[in-house]
Amino acid sequence: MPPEPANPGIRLTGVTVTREGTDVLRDVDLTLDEHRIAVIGLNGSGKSTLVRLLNALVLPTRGTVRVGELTTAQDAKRIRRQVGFVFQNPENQIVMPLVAEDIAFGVKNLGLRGTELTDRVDAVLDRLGITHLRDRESYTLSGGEKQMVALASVLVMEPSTVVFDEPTTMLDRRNRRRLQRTIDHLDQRAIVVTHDLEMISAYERTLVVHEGRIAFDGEPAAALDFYCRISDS
Amino acid sequence: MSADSPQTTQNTVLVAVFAALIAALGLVPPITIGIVPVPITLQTLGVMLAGALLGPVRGMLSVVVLEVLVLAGLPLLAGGRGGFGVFLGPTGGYLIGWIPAALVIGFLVQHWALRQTRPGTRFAAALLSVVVGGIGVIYALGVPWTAVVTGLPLSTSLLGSLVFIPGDLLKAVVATAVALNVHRSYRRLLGGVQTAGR
Amino acid sequence: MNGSRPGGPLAAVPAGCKFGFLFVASIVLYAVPHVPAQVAFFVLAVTAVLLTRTPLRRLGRLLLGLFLVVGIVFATLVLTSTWEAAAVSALRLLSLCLFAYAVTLSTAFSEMLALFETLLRPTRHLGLNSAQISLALSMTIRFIPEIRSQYLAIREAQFARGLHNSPVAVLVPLLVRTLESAQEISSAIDARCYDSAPPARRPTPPVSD
Repeated sequence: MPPEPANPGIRLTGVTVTREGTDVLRDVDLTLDEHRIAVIGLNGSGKSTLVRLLNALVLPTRGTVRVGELTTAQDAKRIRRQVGFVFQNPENQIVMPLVAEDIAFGVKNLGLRGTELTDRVDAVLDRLGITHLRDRESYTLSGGEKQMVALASVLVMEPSTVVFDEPTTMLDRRNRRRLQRTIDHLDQRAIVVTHDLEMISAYERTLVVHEGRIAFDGEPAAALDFYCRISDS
Repeated sequence: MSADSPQTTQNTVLVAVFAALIAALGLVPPITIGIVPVPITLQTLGVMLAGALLGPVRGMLSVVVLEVLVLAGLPLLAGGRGGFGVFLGPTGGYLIGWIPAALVIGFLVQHWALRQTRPGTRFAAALLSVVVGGIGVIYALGVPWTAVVTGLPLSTSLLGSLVFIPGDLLKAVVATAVALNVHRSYRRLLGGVQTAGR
Repeated sequence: MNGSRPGGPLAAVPAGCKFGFLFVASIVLYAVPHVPAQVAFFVLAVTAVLLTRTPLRRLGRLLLGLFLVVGIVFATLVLTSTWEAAAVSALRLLSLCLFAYAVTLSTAFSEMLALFETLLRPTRHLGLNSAQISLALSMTIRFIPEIRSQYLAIREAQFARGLHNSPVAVLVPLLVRTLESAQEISSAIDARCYDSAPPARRPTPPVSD
């Protein structure tokens, strides 16, 4: 079951993000401490920016983002150890020529070396059932395999929250379901941006981002109703 | 945008992807451009683009990164060549020349060509920058190197290299057109790029 | 990409020694312009290459261009100068390149890379940091096949649109895509706690939670 006490909540207070003179996000106040949170919204609604705030990939123009006691503006590095990020396109997330090297990359950044390092890599490969990919060259992987390796490279750092930015967009239906099952079984808190509405039906909370604001915040079923109305208008 | 030193990470990434681009352009099938009947490889085109798009320092570093990998034995040069041998061989000077070439192209494009406001003048200035760096500098090292290594007279070495001039001129034109086109959509690439009318 | 594992007795010699030998050899070969000495060096160089146990077909492919150039040089020099000068030039060039290939063929890529990283270490005084250099080297290897296949895909798309001979139409989208990826790649690296300016080898303190 989720390690709730050790998992600090994420709090956004009066957050505005301005880019080239326009507000991408405006006055967002949120506390995120549920185990499964979905974020949906139209293209360009600001949902990608919203989740990039959570691990200091984007800093707020005004307001603060806190993870436990830490703020993203000051403690980016420590926050990134707690909040992992899986990108839409795994192609851009895998930076090393070999799968094992790539998964080791983040752990090395945490200062681990030697057997401690290889043990962690092997453990995460085993947990995701992709041990057979260990010595493959990254570019020879299929799209589904790449996304699993990208996920492994984040989980290996043992974050308490994992943010997924449209993780299934590049996948076929079969790999989509496989990734969905993997996310469902994570011990970590998961915050998932997605257009895949099937995926999030069992989530505890769904946010709908619309024109830079949180336009809806609640149960998935009601969120979907709301989302369909704004998409069709 | 992000915390800490995103600029540094981004620069490391740009250096690496352009090194990869130069290598990749040597590994794709050679193409024929315009009137020159012989297929030419695009690798020096990659060097020109690295300088013209990334500026002097990052452009030069991406050539250095590629050449370190070649020196270490990877077959990343056009035709699958690599290793110490290519550097010590008769055409080694041209390879060494790629490094200052990217530097010179980057410097001239960033500080001179991109400051021209009229599109015609800008194209001419950029083309001249690419020719000076991508042909002038490379041949200035390559030609004497061949002469020294082989013991041939300098004039013979120079005469032999003339065969490649038409192809290299065409590459310079392509590199210039591509670079200016890309700069139009990526103005932040070389800080403080001025564009006419904006 | 990393080629076959090098074999033969030379593979056991440390890369640094071979690199040093190559450096000395390149000086000696120019210092001794006598035919008998050059022949001796040439025999030594051929032996060195054969000791790497590289298949002859692969050697042939590697050296074909070199032999061609040396042949032209030799012929030109025989016509314009003495045959001794021609022989010295041709043998010197062949020996040098053969020694260089022997070093490359008998050294694992990773060993060579480690040597360069050691040699480049002094550059940290110039503000370059070795972690960044090794990241750039690895990333280059990672992205070469990716960019190559993107190039081929874009070219195919342009062929389909009837743009058969337009390198500009292929390269502009390729570069725009590459630059877009570069942005995302560097975000992904930052997200995985990469420290672009690490303090001198200090282990990161454990998170207190």
